[in-house]
Amino acid sequence: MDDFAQHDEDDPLTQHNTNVDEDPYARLKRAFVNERACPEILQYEESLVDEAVEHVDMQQAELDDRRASAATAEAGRDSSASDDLVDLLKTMELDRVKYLLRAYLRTRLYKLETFSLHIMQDSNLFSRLSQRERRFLGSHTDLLDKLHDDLVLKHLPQQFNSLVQQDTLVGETNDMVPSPNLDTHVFIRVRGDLGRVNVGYSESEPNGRPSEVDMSAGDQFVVRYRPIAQLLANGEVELL
Amino acid sequence: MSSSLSSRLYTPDEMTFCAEDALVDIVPRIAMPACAFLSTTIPPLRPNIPCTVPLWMALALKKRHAARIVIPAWLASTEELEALLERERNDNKVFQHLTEHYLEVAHLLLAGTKGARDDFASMTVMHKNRDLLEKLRLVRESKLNQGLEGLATAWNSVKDEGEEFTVPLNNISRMELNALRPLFQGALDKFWKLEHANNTAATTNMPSATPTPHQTEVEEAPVRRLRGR
Repeated sequence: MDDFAQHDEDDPLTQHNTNVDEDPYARLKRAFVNERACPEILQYEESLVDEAVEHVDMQQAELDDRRASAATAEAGRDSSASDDLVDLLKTMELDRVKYLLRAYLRTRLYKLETFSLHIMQDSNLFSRLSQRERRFLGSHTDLLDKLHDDLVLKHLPQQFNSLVQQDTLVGETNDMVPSPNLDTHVFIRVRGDLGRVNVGYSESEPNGRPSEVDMSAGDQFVVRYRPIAQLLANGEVELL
Repeated sequence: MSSSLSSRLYTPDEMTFCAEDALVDIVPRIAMPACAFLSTTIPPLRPNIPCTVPLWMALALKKRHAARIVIPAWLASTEELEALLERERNDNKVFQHLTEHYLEVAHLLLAGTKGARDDFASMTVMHKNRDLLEKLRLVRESKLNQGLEGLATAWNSVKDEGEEFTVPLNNISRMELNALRPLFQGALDKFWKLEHANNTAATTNMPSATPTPHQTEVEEAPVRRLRGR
């Protein structure tokens, strides 16, 4: 609580500047917007979500307390209008934080369900999940596997009965796993001066050369996602 | 919900939610103690002392006649809006700077019963500014559409030089971006896919073909790609 009280009075005025060190709400909102606009699943913002949940619980308990004491003091004197207003604003703020948390978690849940096998296979992606998400993904893929097996796969010749491969005799790649399109284009905003940034092909991609573009704070672009994925992870750009 | 999640298009709800965090000035009519929120601490309100709060709070206070909203300068002043419109019309290349949620904020403030229409200088000013804002929106929209028409040409010229295609979008508001999203994403993803297929085909499958990026070459590319599926 004390952390919040230490903000300068003119702090809100400077929030338009993207470089300001932001409050938990702004960070949670950015986490949601990034997740929402990003084709792949991003690192879970554990401390941020925990902080928001803690705030919600605390605020809720406080509100319940006040309502309870208001109800008992009813006979004595009526609560002042400004107290009611504070309660109202706190309830509204609570709803907003809950909305944001739900929207954030639901966006991740959608990606987990859509790309479950892909995430299961990739330890890097899997490490971005929270404990609960890992548990969910485990049981989701088990069920998916069982469902496909019971419905079709067990009736097919062995060559064709893999969940992840079209034909196990041809090639080793898992060509039946839906994966996000990382070459899709995204809207970004640059958060600090980055100078010249490579938005072309990276070293690992064939048939292309790098190409650079100037990025200064506040600039907005539409670019291919793959080259800027690392910038996003570092927090140097944000998605819109 | 899931279709908007897969297309990464924001729902109107989400757009409004984001815009409601925009900051506005209010002049309280009542006194209220300081409130600690997750976002920030609202300093104590005192009657007639202006204060900056998020739009959602301003509207809630306004609804209970506990405050008057100071309409932001870009929406309150007819002169400023006229000048802005003039600059927007005269310069075809650049978009004028507005707050990133200007359309949603204006929409919320101008809403019939829940908005803050009576906080404008007068009803005449309110109507006039609303019309000016609408004109401004249309000018910007037609500029964006012109930009889209030029997209294909720009893509080809850039690709001939082997450069990656990025589109600068400075000063385009969040609502405008969201409207552009399906078209931009679809078109650019398709361009990229064709280009990529074209490259692969030129280097591996067709050693004899001249890899000039003619229109016909680009159009042929997906047919060869389909074979593998």
